[in-house]
Amino acid sequence: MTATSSTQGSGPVARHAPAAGRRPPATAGPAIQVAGLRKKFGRMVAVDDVSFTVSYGRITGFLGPNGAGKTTTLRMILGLIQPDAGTAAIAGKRYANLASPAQTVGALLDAAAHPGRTGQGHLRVLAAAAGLPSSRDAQLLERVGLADAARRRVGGYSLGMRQRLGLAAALLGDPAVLILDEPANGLDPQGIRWLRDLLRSLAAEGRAVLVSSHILAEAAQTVDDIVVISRGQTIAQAPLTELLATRPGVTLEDIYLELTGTPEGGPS
Amino acid sequence: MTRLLRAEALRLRTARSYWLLAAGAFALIVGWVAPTAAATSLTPGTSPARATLAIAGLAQTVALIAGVLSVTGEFRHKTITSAALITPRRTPLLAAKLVTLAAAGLVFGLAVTGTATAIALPLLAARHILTGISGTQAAAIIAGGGIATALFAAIGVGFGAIIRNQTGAIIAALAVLYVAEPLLGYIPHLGTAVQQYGLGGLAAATTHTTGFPASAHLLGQPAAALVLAGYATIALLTGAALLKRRDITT
Repeated sequence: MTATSSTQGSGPVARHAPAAGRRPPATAGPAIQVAGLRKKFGRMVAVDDVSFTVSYGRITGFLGPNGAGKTTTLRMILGLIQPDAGTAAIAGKRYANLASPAQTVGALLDAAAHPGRTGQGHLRVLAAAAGLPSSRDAQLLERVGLADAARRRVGGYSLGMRQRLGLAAALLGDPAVLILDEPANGLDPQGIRWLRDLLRSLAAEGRAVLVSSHILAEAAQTVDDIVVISRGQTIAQAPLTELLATRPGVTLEDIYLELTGTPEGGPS
Repeated sequence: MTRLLRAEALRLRTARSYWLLAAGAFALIVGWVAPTAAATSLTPGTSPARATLAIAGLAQTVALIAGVLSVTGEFRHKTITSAALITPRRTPLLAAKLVTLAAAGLVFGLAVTGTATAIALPLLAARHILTGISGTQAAAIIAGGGIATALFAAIGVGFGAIIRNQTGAIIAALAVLYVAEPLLGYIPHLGTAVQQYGLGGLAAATTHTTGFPASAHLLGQPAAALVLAGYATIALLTGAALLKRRDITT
């Protein structure tokens, strides 16, 4: 945690209060807490030392170059990949120990669904496994803009439509924590605008949103906090406004390239 | 577990591939049994009725493949990620699949073997070929067909969890069934054990039908079903242990 500064505590930027009290945080603690995660695949160190926290009511952008370890980190948080070292907790618990995971965390990882099943059928299978009523699928498909395609087979969906279906699946259990890996993939400009509004409204409802992205211009418009990783290590964590206030006229892109661009890596 | 079983049943019901596989296999078996019963000739030392009904054994191969597909399809279509997110405990996840596929296999096996028996026995009788199969024995053949098909589906589920690559798992299953076991059967001394405890011999014994020569030493029906159930348990436990240990990266 050398160059990271937590968004909690008495920073210059006050933490947003969850709006409208629809979903107060389950606990006073952070929504996601990652400490010292490490993972090797064979000889390749995919994640070396990643630590950060994600707060309720805020959108946290998870940024880093290709191969920096973003997806592996997200999969470790979600209990899909076993870390070699370190811990990841959601609402204070390991993913595997959550009593009702779908109602606690919603995740979009690769927008995968069986091509032979309809969009609606996909959500119904997931709802059945999570013990949720299947009545929510129509409402969710409406929220992600797929109402017209509900009865079409996923095999005929575009990438953008599969991303939307993946978002509907993530929202199935009305979770307080959302983890989205590159949700803007395959979305057209209208879709990206729609996604930004959706993420904003989800955070405004008091939910914690962790979203990985490559698109810095988009992230700059959407996120409250940023976490930057490079070569498997956390190199920065701070509220976006705090970073942008360091120098007049500096952009997220400038900061990102400074942090990740030098071969030595890391800020001085 | 109830909700997992409900989800698996829904998964099975809403996937077209299983219905096509079942319908195709059913048509194939009926279309094979009927002309065989109409044309088969008496060969000394074999029972034409049992040899004809052995065709229904294709149901077990199909069930094995369906079981493999149920797990490997999750990896191929990357849906294992959402399944494991909703159910982080992977052993119940696999157990639910196994129970669901076995139940479907039981129904399919009963339907196929029942239809084959209902077609073959009257046809043979009309040709004045002595079937040597009583009503009770016919019932045992049909029940055995259901049980064997259910257990093959269960073994397929475990097998699919061990070899997650779809094509690899299907080829490996077919290689064991149609290449390794028959070849090992030629080896003196070992051959008898392979006939008794190999999947082919166990299927023949459980279904009480046989493509094996009359001299083959097969286990009794209940013993063969128990050995198959043992194999299904081993496949499930091994598959579950590997599923738990391996990272889900796709």
